[in-house]
Amino acid sequence: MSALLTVDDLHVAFRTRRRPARVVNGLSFELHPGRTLAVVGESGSGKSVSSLALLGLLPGTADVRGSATFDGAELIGRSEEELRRIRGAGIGVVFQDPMTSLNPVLTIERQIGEALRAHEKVSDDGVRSRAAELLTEVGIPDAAGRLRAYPHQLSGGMRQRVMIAIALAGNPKVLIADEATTALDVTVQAQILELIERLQDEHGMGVVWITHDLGVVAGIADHVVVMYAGRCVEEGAVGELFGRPAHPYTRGLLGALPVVDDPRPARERDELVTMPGLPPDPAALPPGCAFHPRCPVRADARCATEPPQLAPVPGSAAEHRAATFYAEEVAR
Amino acid sequence: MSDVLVRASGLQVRFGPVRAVDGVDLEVRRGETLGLVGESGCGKSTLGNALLRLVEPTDGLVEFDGLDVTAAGRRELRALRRRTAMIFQDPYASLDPRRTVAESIGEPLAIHGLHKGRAARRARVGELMEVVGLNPDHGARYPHEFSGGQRQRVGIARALAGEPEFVVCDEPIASLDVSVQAQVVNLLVRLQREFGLTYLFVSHDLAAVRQVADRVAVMYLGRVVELGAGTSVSGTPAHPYTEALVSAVPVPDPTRERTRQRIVLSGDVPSPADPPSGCRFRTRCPKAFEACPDHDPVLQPTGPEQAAACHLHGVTDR
Repeated sequence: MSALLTVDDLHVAFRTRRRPARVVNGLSFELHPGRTLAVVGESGSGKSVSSLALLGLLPGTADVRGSATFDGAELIGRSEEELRRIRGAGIGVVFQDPMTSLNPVLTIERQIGEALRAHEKVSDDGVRSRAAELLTEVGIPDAAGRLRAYPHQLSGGMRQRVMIAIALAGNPKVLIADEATTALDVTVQAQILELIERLQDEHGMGVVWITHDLGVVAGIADHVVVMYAGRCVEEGAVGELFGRPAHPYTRGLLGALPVVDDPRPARERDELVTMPGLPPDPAALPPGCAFHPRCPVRADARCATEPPQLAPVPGSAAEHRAATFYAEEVAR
Repeated sequence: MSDVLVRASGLQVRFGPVRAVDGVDLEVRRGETLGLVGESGCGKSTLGNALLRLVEPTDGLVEFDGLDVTAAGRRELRALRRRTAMIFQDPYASLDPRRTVAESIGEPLAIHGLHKGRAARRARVGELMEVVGLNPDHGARYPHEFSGGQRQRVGIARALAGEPEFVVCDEPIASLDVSVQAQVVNLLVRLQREFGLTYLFVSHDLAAVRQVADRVAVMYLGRVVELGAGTSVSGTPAHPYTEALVSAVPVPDPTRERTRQRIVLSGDVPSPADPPSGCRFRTRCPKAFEACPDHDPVLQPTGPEQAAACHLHGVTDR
């Protein structure tokens, strides 16, 4: 099956007064129809910037290199006009904070209507009925009444549903969810996860789920890309990546998480696994492996000079790859 | 010496029509970590603030070590303040950006007249920085020169300066990255064991609460709806809200996460200015029945070290 979205050797650097900040440094991935790809990383790992880059939503200070193709069409280097057409009809996006993505002074109907009109000529009545349909589809009760509401009259969960309705307006083949549930309470997050899963089944969309939350990833992803310092340090099918993480950073992240269904009382639990230090400054990336200054497993002369490339993890399926010299030792 | 350090009885905090905390009875035992978990707007932070009288309760009683906090005058309150402390979510907002971190950490010492004299104070600040894992040579730096995790360590050092007995940790890891959260959680646990601290750990993150708390209180719309040992509250929840909350917390294991029974609640949390009659959770409760709209449930024992405010365990009324 051919990929819907292919990102190949994507680089993003921001020009600053000093050295350029190299935020994405050679990212590649493929998204297939009906599948969910999770891009995981901490603040500054480049996960959100990558998605903004392929949507053409970065400011002029960003230098974007590499390739990203959607349905065979190149996205990088396109004009604003062309990108808008591709984005609207092919790629829907849901961001973290619906309050800043929605216009506070326009009704919900106007905002969904804008998205509908961007793709086709529709009458006012047509907009109203299609917008109400979309609201119903994303699980908003009394859709006709809610069309007249302003964003502040809705709860956080409802606003995120409206964002999803707007993203669906163009019948996208790809949905990019960038920390789409991060600002929500867990019970509301559960509602939104269920909703997106249902929509994905019904529409066969490919979903790129960008998140810092490995718990969410465990529940929804087919394939996972772990980012650190702008690179993919490990990728694989969700079961293998969680089951036998091969990169010390992935293993560290998983160990750092407290687990709600661990039956032991707090006082009998082990300390959480910690990684010393902080992610590097993108304007001053360490030579060699960018993770080596924090690596709890091994950090030898080779790590400090030679950047490890993504390579198949011994004993795993071919798509499980890690950028470390010690995959075998870590994955065990 | 009673084993209860802090006690709230019938505690109520209203902001105009909003009933942020609406009749809470709660005890924090000496040396324990009591986790207080709930979603946005449930009143958990207000409750934490009210226990320290950082907001004025509109009704009810708070006692600290047998002393009536709600009735304390200025002088008594100051004495109480030295014995208590607060760690905030966003240390950047709670630290003065124009002061060096040593000045911020040392301020409580000056206020409470501890470690008098410049040299003694400097030594104590250095000691505190070391205790929380900061380099004491960095005392002359300003908050913006530190990362989020380091700033949280500064906030913790400042909280510890007066050698408090009781510390309210209000979402102390919510704004940190996962790898840094783990560092701060481990630090808080280590400090508690080292100094015999009593914690109220307020968080929306049940997994984090379970990692640190001996007992857990679950709040919904201004009320404590379940209270018990951490193992029981998350292992065998007695309140349908707790059950839904536990099931909604994602587990970082694809096999478990995909086979767990997830209870997805319908609807939104009602307004705390106009809570539903009877049980406040009934409008979203998958198990609601006839008794729920008419009777306002009280916390009642459901097992050893566990209590829930739910009519499924026998109809009660406040």
